[in-house]
Amino acid sequence: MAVAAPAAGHGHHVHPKRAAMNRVGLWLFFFSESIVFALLAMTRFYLKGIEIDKVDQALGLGITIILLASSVSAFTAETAIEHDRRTLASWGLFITIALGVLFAFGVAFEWYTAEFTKDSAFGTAFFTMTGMHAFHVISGVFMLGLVWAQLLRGRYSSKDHWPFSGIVMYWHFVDIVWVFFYPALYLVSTPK
Amino acid sequence: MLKTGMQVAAILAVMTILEYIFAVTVPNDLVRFIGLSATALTKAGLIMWFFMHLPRAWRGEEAH
Amino acid sequence: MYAATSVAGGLGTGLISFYIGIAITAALRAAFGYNAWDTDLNVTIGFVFGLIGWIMGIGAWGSWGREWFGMKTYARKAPGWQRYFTFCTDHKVIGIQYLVTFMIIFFMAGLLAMGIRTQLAQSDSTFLSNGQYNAVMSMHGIMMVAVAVAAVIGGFGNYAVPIMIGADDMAFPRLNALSFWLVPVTAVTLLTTPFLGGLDHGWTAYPPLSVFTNSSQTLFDLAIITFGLSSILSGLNFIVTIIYMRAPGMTWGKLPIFVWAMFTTAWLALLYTQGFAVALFMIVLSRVAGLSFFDAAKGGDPILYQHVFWFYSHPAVYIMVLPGLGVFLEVITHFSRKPLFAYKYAVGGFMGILGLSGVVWAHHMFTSGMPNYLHGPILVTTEMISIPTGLVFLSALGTIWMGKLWLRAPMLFALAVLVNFACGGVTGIFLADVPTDIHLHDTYFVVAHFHYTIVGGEIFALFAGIYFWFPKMTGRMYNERLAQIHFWWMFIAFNVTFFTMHWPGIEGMNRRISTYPHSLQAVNLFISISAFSLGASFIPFIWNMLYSWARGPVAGPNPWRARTLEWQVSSPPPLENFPTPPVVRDHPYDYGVPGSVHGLFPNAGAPAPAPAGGGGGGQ
Repeated sequence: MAVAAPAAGHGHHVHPKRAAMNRVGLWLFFFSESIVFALLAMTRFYLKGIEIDKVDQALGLGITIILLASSVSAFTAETAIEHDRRTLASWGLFITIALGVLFAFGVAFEWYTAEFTKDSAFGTAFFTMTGMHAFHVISGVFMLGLVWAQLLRGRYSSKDHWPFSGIVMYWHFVDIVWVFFYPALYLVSTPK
Repeated sequence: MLKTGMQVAAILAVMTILEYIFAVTVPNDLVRFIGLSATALTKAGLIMWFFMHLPRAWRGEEAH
Repeated sequence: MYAATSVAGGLGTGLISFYIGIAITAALRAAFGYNAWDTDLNVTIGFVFGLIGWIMGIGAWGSWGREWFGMKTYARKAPGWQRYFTFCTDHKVIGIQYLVTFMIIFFMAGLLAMGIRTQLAQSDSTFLSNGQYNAVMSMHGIMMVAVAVAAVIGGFGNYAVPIMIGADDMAFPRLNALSFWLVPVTAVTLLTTPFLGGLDHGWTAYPPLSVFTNSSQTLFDLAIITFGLSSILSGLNFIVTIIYMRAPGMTWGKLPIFVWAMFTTAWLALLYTQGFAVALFMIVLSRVAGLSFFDAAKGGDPILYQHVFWFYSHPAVYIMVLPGLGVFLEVITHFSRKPLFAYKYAVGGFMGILGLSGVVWAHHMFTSGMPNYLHGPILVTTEMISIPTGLVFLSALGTIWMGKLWLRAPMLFALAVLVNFACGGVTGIFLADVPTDIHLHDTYFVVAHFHYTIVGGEIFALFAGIYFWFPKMTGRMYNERLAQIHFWWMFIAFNVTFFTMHWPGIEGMNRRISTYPHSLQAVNLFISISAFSLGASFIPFIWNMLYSWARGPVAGPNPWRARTLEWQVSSPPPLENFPTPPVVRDHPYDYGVPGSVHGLFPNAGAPAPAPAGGGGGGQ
């Protein structure tokens, strides 16, 4: 059927714009994901306006700061690997993962101690939004763990670190989602 | 590079605290909503620009 | 037999993972003191496990997953037809995989339509029970929606777009293979719904019914969320491919019109598909976790579902129709032997549809009880969308005008699109206007309308594309006489069936209900008979395709003497498409313009393997 398939070279040559394509593809994925989160936030405002049931403000601010700090450590790790500073990159990833796990436990604690239930519109919206976000945090932690394991085994350098950068970008995206979800769930109305 | 990032991180941290104080002190719903939206958009913009290297998306090459 | 081991391996890991997921859920539930078996929850977790197992088992583990753990990847090279049953990353293989899969789904859903019409041939028929009728009608709806969403995009988009822009493959070949291999999961999961009680809410799955009905609903939700993921990923892939992988000289102004249609469609898929997924996700959460999105007693609101659902599902009709219109313009210009009239306006039309499609969703909800202040604005935006659609029609009519029409099967189907889609557009006006819609809502008028737009507009374009690209895909020519018989039979039977269907609609016959007033008996019998005829019209098509694929005469690289790049390589094109990379000079549709050449192969030792489209008047 096929004529003169070029046996040599198939799958080995890299497209000159490969880095840009990866990057833009990932941005499009974030763009697409952000619509999922936007629809969930719309659901919250559609059902409850800006009303807030009793939430734990101290915990909310705490986990927000934790996630922000994890974004900073992820940034440190990425910048470090771009300059071949492997030890710093490794520590950066470790701290990011630890803070991510801490954040997930914070959300779990909030769920466990919440005074509202899933049988109210606010509870439904709250559990869905934080749950969807926490799912992304946990999957991010998992992927950061994969990258960390390979970093420890000597992969990645300033020349070759796309998977590393891509997952750090994903982590920042997860942080951005929380930048919007935190005020929408905790601050948008006078806390009771 | 790292230094810029740390400055941005400091700005984000300060904005987060201010956002919280703003939300618990401002009584007007509309003002609070607009203020929070503006803060969130600014924070998201800062993260995308400096942490996620948005400009590299159209510059196309890996900048260091 | 690598094909058999590949599919069996995927099925094996998929099923084992499915049961592991169910077992883990049951064990955890028992450990925490709940009843171990909750169909919705256990099936949901099992599905997620099974999906991952299937994708990894079919080949994603070897060529992708191992990389995540720092191991060497491998891709087994299966020979010949066996490639179609593996995790093959060649866009041409994936295009044909999509096309064949969706043709099978199309004919299965068509048989279900025959069942619906058998039931409706008599006003008091007992051919199907009410529950069976609901299941058959719902399955017909969702399977046809899946065909309409993905057959042209997945089939021709994957096959033709990379070749048309001069690329060797898609931007993310493995992602492309992943997008395809999610589809069988969707199809199989939908087909298993009857075993859990059968769907009974149509393809729209409105709550509260969908929250309280049998567990087949959960399978439906999971299948469609998976399908949405596939749609989003392939949309992303198309956007990056079209932006970055165009050949030198292939500027945005010289892009073939089908590529433009695919580009706008890809944006629609990327922007809106989440709506359906989120809406169904909320139903899954309501069923599995007992959340109260749609329970008015607990502060929820069923109308919320309709907003989120139609936020996707109206743009979805443009996801269906835009690539169809792309094929339509592509075929019209090649077979009119004239430059495409008003190329820029047609592109502007696609862009306009892309822009407007997000602000018209609530015209599906005029009778739902949503706030009255939405009626006026949505009416206006809905009717405004006929302006960009009109630009596409302008382009087609201007191209046909004074052209030397070459009435082969692809062209006949494209001309039928023009007629059918115009009819669908005109009946759409009555449904966009609030006063008439309140009378016509949920009647057979709506059924006739959307069959005219989607079948008349897109499925006819799908067949135009099949006949147009068949020689390129198989290297063989179909039988023109059988194709013409198929066309006239299908065109007449389709119009008789669905044009007549407006009448019972105006008389108030409700859609989705298995019985109707006896006074509408005669017209429904007539519709049923012509619907059976429409169903039979595909017999010559199937025979033609199967026979010609195996025994048809060799077509040669460019049987249509077309100018776009895919016709400048051999049929079927070699792996990675171009022996020497093409360079683009002139516009793709400059038929009859002296000295104009679209694709050049400057580094080719021998001349290009085809009569590189240097004009071509006549015929």
